[in-house]
Amino acid sequence: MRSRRGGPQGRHVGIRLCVQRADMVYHVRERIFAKTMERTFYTEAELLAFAGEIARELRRGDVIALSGPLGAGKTAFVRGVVAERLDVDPVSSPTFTFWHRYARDGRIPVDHLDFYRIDNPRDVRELGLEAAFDGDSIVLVEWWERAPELLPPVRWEVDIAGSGDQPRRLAVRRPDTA
Amino acid sequence: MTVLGLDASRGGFSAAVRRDGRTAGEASLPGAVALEAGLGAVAEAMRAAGATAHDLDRIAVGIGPGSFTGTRIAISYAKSLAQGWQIPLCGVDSFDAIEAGAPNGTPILAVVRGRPGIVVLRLHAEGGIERSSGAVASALDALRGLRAGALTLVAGDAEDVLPALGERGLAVRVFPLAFSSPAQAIAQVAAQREPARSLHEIRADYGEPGA
Repeated sequence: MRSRRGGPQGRHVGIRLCVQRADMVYHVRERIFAKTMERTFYTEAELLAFAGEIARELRRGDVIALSGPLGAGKTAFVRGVVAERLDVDPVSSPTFTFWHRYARDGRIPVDHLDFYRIDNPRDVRELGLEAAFDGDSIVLVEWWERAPELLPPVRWEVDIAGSGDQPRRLAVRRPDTA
Repeated sequence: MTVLGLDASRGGFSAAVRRDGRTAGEASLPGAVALEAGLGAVAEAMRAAGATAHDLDRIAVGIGPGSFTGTRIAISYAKSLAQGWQIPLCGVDSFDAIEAGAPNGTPILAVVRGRPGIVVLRLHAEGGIERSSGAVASALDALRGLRAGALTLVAGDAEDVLPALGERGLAVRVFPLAFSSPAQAIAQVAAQREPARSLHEIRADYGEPGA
């Protein structure tokens, strides 16, 4: 698999240090640095490896919004991230669990949310799911379109196209890539 | 408060010394063979904590539900140590250990794997505490306090029940255990409890009616 071009973090350290208020950082990062990259994968192993690559760049408070049809590989992406960050293989059932936290001593926890069963965005608030976005963890949300206002405006967006035996086309909109 | 915790009810054998709310020493042995080496784990946890029997305020043991054999062996060890060292003993069930350090809120569903195909459940809801056991579907159906519309916190062997909870349309939040070994959780719970008045009060909880 090709590696990403350049290392984005170093270039933005100055900005993060200069702008103290978190919301300002988000504003700046969203407006200027959001960029979409696309990748095509022919096997799940490739997709998992790519998720692991993304996972290494994630920081506490980062949110990844995953979209794509049933069977596209959203949960596989989550597995790749959790495996990379926490060295565990999650076995939870997709589309059944609303909120699953994975944690390991001394590492940033990963929260996996699935809004598949959300019929009304109000349900999300009634259930208290917004507490997952308190900035304490890395959060991955499947079917986030069902309650988009719950997510912070600055987030990674990963859209996966394809299902079954088709190759998967991933479009990743990252908040901090120039 | 210094507590020695022992557990073999939830897989392997773990021992931990908790001193004033912190784990000072710990040893875990995986697998069934661990049961025979359990006292070695106790010695290792004590050594790591720099503790002797004189330093212990109480001993805590996991009383199940969970592994039938493991639970009985750990209780035997714990009773022997408590009697030999003349230290009070406290029994802590697997559900309280699972709930220790859980996020605030109810209902909380604690799941323990019993015999193959059998789960033992405890639901801690506003209306009180309910327990059930059996195959997953029937054990869940027996819990009247499980209802849609609330976010049910689930911990323990959660994977066993997640698909069935989803089929029932329940919103679920799965949280990881707050302690890295059952013995730590048990020692923590026991530090906030009165010990048993007599060693005979400590009995295994096999989780299933009539067992």
